[in-house]
Amino acid sequence: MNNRLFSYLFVGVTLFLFAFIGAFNYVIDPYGYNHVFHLKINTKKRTQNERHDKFKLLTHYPHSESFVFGSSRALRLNPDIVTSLTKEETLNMAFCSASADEYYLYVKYLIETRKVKKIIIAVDLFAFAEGYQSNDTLPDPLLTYFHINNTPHLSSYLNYSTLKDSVKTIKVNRHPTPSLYEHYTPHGENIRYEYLNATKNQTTLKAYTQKNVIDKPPYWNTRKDTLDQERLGQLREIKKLCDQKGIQLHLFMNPLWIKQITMKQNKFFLQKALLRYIVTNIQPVWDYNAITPINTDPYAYEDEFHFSCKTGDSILTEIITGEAGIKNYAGTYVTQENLESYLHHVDQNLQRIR
Amino acid sequence: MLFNSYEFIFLFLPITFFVYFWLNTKRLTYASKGWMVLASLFFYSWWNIIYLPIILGSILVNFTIGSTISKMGNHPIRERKTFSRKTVLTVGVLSNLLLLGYFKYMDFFITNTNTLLGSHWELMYIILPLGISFFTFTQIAYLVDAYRDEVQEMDYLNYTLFVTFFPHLLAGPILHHKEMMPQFDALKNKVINYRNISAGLFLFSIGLFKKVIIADTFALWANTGFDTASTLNLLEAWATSLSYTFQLYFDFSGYTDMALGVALLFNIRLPINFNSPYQALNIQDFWRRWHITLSRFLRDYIYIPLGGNRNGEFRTYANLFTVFLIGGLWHGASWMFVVWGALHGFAIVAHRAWQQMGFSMNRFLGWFITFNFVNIAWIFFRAKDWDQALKILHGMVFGDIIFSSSVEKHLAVLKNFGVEFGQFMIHLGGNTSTWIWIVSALILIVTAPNSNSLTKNFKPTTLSLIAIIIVLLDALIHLSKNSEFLYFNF
Repeated sequence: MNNRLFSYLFVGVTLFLFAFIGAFNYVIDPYGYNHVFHLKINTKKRTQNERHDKFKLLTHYPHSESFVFGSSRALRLNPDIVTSLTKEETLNMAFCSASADEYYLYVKYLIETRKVKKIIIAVDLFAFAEGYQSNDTLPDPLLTYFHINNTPHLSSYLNYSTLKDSVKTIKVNRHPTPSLYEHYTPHGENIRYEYLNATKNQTTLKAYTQKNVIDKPPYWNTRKDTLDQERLGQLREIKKLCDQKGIQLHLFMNPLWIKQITMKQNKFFLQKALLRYIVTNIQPVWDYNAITPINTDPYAYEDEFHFSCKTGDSILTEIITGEAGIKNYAGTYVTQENLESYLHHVDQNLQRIR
Repeated sequence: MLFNSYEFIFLFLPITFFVYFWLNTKRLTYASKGWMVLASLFFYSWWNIIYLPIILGSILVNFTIGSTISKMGNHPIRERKTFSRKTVLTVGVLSNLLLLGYFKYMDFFITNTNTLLGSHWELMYIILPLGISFFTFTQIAYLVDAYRDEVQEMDYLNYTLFVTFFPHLLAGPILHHKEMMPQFDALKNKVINYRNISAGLFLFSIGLFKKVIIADTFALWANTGFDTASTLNLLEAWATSLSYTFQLYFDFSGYTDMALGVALLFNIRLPINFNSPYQALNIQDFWRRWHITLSRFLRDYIYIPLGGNRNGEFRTYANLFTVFLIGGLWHGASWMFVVWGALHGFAIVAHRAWQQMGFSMNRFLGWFITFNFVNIAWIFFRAKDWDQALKILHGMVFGDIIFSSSVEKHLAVLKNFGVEFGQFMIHLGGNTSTWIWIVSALILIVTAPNSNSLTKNFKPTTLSLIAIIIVLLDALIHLSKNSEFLYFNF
């Protein structure tokens, strides 16, 4: 091959392939940017983005009045518990790796656009920690509502992530899942699938818990030692909006598996600082980290990071009625009055267990 | 404008290329140079047009001083009547240093003065114009060369083209006038040369791949380790420092490959800047392979004028150390760069003393010590402050030893020695793949030929065509997150 032919082929073939990728992504349109081509292979857009799917839940349940927010931990909270206790149609709006500034937008949108009775937020430290950022995108209608720029750049069609999601979109459309719009998204269901299978009998549950809770090293996905003031400010604003509209705001600190609290390089001190901040500056909080059975019983967890649905049911029941679904798993309602004595009690319990 | 952007690759470069050669085929060679200058100034202004007058002013002043020096050289009688050539040169060099000093070191100077004198001068928060360190050094070299009668440039357009030629404008290589302008004037370079085009595209693709796929991947771990993580275990600390070591190399050498590749499209051969530096067997060898044109500048315009090795051993050591201190400070206004420069200065002095004493060293040991020294010294280069550097160093020495839980079954015996198993890369947001990248990069830089030798031996074959299309396409579809080159900060 001579240099001339090489140069022409190199430029020509590269441009052709690059343009092909762009055109392919444009036609499949995995994120629903343009809605030009309506084909059998792209009817359902990418289904793995919970942030988008959760927003779609709102249109499928236009009369829902109460909403649960949080990260993948909060995906274990069954909204039907709230519905049955309050007769208010409730949706679980949690999505994985949610940062507080993300669900702030959802909450504000809901408060401004529909009649809301109850907001329940399962508080994670990482969601309020400085430096934490979720890598996913928020749905277009939400961004449009808040005038956040969301016009797709040409490069949106010319990149690898879009290509991957285009292929995924085709796969999903060729083998459709039964229902997209359940109270949990398919992703939420998928991550619980293995656990739900294991709960079928005691032997499998024991083996599962040994492997995924007891033996699995815990971690904190919080890297810095400071809280994000902007996100705390947004939580204050949520409280203010709720007060103005007469909406009940329930906050609780997610229970942590004891090994996470006692591991080296743990961030429990920051978790306590977050609790202190919220109680002092926003409102009382249900806390589930007093080193009680909810922290030490491995069967309260699905894995080293997430509590189980059974635990979630107990927590939701307690938040709504004041009585824990499982007595041993009861939390503490921390107010400004009992804050210091509670934190002292936690430290003592921690000391004892160490 | 960034080399790793769609605007550059799909618009700026093709338009500049076709218009340049179209003008040349019409025998409008002066216009083609004018077009290249315009394109280069547009390339520079894309970032922020506010700084265009600075570079144009700098070019005008240096051209005037350089041509004055050249003219005075031709008229020795007139020289005696007015200023001496040396005085004009001194004015020229000082004006360049003042410009650089104002934009790069003013806030550094104010901060240190405030600390020393307890004064409260307000910082000026001056934004560093892109490429100022490079175009200033290029022009200082030109003035000195003019003084030494090695160059003479009386054409303003030619001179502007020499300084602004876009492939080298923002981050080098630092050029000599004499190695570039004759290439622009050579008739054979005014026609399209497919040999150069294929080699240039090949080199550009490799550079883009190095930057987008390799350097930007390492950047994630390096940035998290340095900037975000509050503590690091042993493996995380080493992963952080090695990630930065590789990020810097693939970032800067990727940029240089792209610059050399783009210049080659226009039949201009720029000097190489890297020659497998991490294969160096000693620190002197390293500096012959790393940022070669900067080392050449420091040698020709600082070390030799200081006396080089002509005034005895002690002065030689002092000169070497001074050169590295200045080299460190050139990279930025921070004491961390000075520390980095001093470390390299000490190392080069120690190496020279070692050589003088007639000792030798096993090749592998020499490489191992050199690589680790360079790796550790980069920590000071990257760290924002002393605490950040100490955080990494502390982790590298005293950090907890935590291995991946996936190897716990096989290495459980190590628990007796204090080794833990768990999320061993959690503070970096990494996992086992981080170490696969690090080990792969290490093997690559130690064993693989560098891009310059690949280009030198490049032959257009079907296999090389397929390989390079895959490389470029992979880089292109990962371009969406534009990231700047590290050396734009210097």
